[in-house]
Amino acid sequence: MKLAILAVGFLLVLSPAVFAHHGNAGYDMQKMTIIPNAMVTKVDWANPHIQIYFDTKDDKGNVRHWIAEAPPPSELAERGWVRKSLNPGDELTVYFHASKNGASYGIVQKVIFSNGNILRAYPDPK
Amino acid sequence: MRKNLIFSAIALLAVVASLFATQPQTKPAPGETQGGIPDFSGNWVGSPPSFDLKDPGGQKVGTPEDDTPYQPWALAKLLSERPGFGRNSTFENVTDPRIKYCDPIGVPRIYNIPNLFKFIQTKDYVYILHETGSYWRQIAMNKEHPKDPGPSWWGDSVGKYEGDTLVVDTIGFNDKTWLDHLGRPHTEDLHLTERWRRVDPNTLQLDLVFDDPKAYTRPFPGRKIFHLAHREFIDYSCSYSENEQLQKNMINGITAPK
Repeated sequence: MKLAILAVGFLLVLSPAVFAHHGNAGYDMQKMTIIPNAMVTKVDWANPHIQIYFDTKDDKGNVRHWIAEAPPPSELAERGWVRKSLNPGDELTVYFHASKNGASYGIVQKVIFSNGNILRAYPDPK
Repeated sequence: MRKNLIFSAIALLAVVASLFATQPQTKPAPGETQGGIPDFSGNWVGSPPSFDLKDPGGQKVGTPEDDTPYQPWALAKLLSERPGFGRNSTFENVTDPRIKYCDPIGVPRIYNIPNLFKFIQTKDYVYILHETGSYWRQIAMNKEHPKDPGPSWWGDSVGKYEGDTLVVDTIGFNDKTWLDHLGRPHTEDLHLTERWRRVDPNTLQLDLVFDDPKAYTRPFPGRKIFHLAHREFIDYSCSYSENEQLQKNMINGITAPK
């Protein structure tokens, strides 16, 4: 799981639907951070946010722990998620808006499985 | 004899069948008003963070474009807050009592949370059950407010039906909650009117009137649209310890998950 984090700037305004109960001000909502080769270690399927724990490794094998928060289960259910949509051991590419302060934390936009399946936490930005 | 019995049985079946065929449909369509009571059944969900459909993201709040009729102190208080949402949003050192302390979110702000709620309509009371915080409201139907309702997080609510609309009148609030996610304040004199109407089987509309002369120079309106959600509640508790851990994770990053 080599870590090659990409950041993509948005030219357009993000969907206003992206929401966290504590607000979004701490996240860089103008930039999409893409984390390939993310290995899911735990999923908290709970209100007010689902939290997806995952690990990445750098070239030297150093592990970095992350959390991506997602909308409440009731909102994700409308986008096709169920409690077991993500499971420990799943390998993903995670698209998220990272914490501005550099913490390994962010608000997820979508995840892509290694087989190409996509789960969106929010509608794609316009 | 046997032939007569068969004919009788056929005749009886025909009569029964015709009864069913001519019986009016007794099950109301979703949202249909029956016996003067509109049907609000189902689980409803909306979206944050504002009651202003012209400014759903709260980007105008506190600016000259914000036509909310603030008293000067109320505008100053709004601008001094550090909310998590809208134009003045911040991440660290938030002053939102809901985010900071898990305080009860109160009415009407709970309708800015994108979680489910449902109505339980009985003759004497309407209850609104909320997935958020497992909170619930009690609305006494066709009754007067008590003479001096003490200040409380949720206030004292009475209601009545006007045609297809449930009208809820609430007073007796404390002044510890915000009106919305953006930090608009209110006093204990807040008088809130909610008009709930199912505009179609899948859509519920809430029209609000905020009347709080100590904080706002005149009553002003708000509106929220909800849609029917075909799923059930799950547990939602605002746990102070979980909230604190969440804040730490966001600010400091995490260690290995437990």
